[in-house]
Amino acid sequence: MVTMARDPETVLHAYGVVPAADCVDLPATGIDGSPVELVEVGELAALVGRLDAVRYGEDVWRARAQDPDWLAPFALQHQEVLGAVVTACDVLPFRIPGMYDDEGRVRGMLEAERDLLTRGLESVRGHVEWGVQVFLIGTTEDEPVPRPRTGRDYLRSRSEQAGSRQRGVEERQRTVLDAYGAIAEASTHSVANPPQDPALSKRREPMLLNSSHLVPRTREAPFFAVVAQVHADLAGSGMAVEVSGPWPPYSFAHLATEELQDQP
Amino acid sequence: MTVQHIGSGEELALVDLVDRLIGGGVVVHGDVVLSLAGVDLVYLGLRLVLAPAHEVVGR
Repeated sequence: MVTMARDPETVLHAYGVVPAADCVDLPATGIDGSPVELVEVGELAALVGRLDAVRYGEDVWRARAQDPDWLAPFALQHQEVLGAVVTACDVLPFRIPGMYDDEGRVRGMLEAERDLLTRGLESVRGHVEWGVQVFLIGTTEDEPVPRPRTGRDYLRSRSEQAGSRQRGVEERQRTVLDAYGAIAEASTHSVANPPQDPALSKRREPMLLNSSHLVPRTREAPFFAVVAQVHADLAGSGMAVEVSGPWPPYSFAHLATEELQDQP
Repeated sequence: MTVQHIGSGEELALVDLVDRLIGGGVVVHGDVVLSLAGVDLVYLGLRLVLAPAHEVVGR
């Protein structure tokens, strides 16, 4: 184990923690091209990168955290490392910022949080996270209505159309709930999050489901079989499934500290 | 039509990452703790990353 030299001109960024012994195939570079290195304490290892303190010291964070052109690339590079790591070994991703003055401070964190991090890694052992979203990409055909002849006919036909639309919405909700349930059965843990605000997601199609699933690496094929089946089932109702991942288990990092309740 | 698979690498959707960074991940306090009157500045910054009027410049 190589001890990193103290260097006041640099700070260490911690991407997350991995089991010390298991993670041998690290990505070569991370943020700003810095090497991705390990700081080990016992069975835990923090994934770190040594960064220029002039660029990532506390005063810079304070000044630039509100600048999307500064923060977004940092977040993307943070994820790039974690996304590469999770394909090969278990990892608990950290939130950002995860800056430490030096290696000693990283060790101190690992020692202080050892129980939490150990439990957290154990709860995601052998798993990755997959995101599942369902979008409404086409409306179901409205039944052609006979042309109304009287005012009363017109009002009745409008009322019938509204009722039919409402029943369609309710049926869609049941279908999506069933779909979530089927996918959750193929997962160890699942969570349904609020659908994303279209203004933020830039998607025009309504989002009907926004869920995350913790799936064993060894059960990936059956998980995707269920997802494909759901996608085929939903197609007739004008809905489509999209999957993202594999993610490091951001959405399940709290398992160590909270009692997780799966959504019904 | 098959299920569309969006990876988590270069092609990820920024909103999916930001949601995960805001709502998930382990919180261990490092040496940079940013809050102003109890508000997490990075949380605010991440929300701004998705602001409708803003287009993120590539890294």
